[in-house]
Amino acid sequence: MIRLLNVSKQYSNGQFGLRNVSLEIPANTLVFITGPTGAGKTTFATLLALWQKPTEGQIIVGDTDLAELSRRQISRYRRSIGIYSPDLPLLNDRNVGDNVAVPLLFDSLARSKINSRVANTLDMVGLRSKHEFSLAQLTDAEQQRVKIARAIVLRPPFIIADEPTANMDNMLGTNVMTIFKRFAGRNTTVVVTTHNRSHFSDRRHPVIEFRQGQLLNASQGAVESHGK
Amino acid sequence: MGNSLEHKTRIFVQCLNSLRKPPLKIWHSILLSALILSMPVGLYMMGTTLEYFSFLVKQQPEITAFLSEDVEHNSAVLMQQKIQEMEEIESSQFISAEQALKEFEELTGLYSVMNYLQENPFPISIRAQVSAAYINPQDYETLLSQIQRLEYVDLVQFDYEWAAKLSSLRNVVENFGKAVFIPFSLVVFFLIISMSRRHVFFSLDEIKLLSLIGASRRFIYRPFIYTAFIQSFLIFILTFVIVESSLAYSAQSVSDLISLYQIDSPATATQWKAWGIIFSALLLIHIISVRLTVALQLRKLEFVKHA
Repeated sequence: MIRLLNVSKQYSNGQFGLRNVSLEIPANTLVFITGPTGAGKTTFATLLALWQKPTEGQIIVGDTDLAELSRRQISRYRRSIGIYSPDLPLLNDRNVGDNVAVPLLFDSLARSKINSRVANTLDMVGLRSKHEFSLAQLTDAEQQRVKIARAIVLRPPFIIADEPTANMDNMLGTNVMTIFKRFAGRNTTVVVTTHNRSHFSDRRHPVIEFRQGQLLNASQGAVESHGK
Repeated sequence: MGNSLEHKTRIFVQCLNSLRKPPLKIWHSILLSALILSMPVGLYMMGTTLEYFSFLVKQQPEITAFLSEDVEHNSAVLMQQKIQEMEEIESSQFISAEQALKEFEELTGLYSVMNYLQENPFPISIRAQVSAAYINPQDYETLLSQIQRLEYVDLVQFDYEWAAKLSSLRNVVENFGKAVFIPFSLVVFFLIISMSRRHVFFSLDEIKLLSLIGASRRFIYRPFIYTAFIQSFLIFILTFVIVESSLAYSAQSVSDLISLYQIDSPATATQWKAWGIIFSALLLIHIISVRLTVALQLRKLEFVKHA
């Protein structure tokens, strides 16, 4: 369960990324966050990933109040989630496989284990044959898939994906969404921000809509909670 | 444990490989640092060798006081005692006229010299070794005039010119070494900082990525520390080779000089302690610089700033 209680994020230029948002996201579901550009989708994702802290309010993931984490605990929390974001760069001096393997290096796994995990994950995103390719040999959409593979390679219990299908054609976007939907069925909570409404047009997953930093509505599953 | 070691080894090998990749192709920076560092280090090593050599040579200078011909044996012995009691004198020897003649014969090979002379021409003399604490030219002058003023002293001989020259030469090398050491070391210091900064700025994407996906600080620092170690080691090895080759090149000349003074001592010796200090200093500067630079970048990158 993820809970936001009266969360606001105001930037140094005075603008609000989010304004007084309170909601609950149940565990093991795929939730879409949508809204136009500037609505607060990315702010929401980065607050959940603890890449920035709210100026007001509380974010509680499971039993953990994110505001109370120390620097070391923040690192541990970030390690426990899979993050896809356009802000998260790929490493140009490494090949596809090595890029996907980066989160696996923290736990000092054996090379053979790392290789098999990477191969399986690349298989999921359709890039197994390009394991040894350099990034320069990939298209933009393929590079996005490498980032997605890197986000899911740890099989984390919580995945945050910020606009994962931007720059992808419909078919590829649908394939990527299928991967996330598969994870949501395996004890994983997946939060996907997107402005592409076709991804949730089947109404099978909760949708949260923001506009100008404020919660516009939350469909079935995701509950607009009433803060204090 | 095994996996952790495997991981660390892999990172170390990656760091080694990264030295070949632009813009971390830093061989010219490493070579430049080594060449610049060689200058003050070489001068220091040479200065130390000269200092050691001059110290050995300084033990040899002697003052010889030739007494007048009419001095009696007892008075001569008293004279030796007086000289021995002087603060500047470390030891002294009484040399009778007969001993002086014998030394002369041995040194020159003219064993039949007395066949042509009516009497032994050598006077009684006192040979005195000057204490190491009084080895500068001013002290010698004072000492010589003091001895010269003593009763029965006919002539005082001491050739300190070479010692003064050696002392001056050592001072020149030492002072020049000190003078160039600070600016040249500063150049190396800034080169190392620049190398560290270049490495870190080239890796900003990696630092950002690792920080945002939850790598520990130790994990993030590790490749930079390894690279700093490798670079410091390479600078050190190159400096060592350059300086020791130069010293080896000059070793024969120093040996020749030493042999002139019949001193049984090696011409040059590798000064491992000094080299150890140089390597430690290089490594320390490099690691502190790289850690600080990464820490500063982490402060900027560990949280994103969306607007």
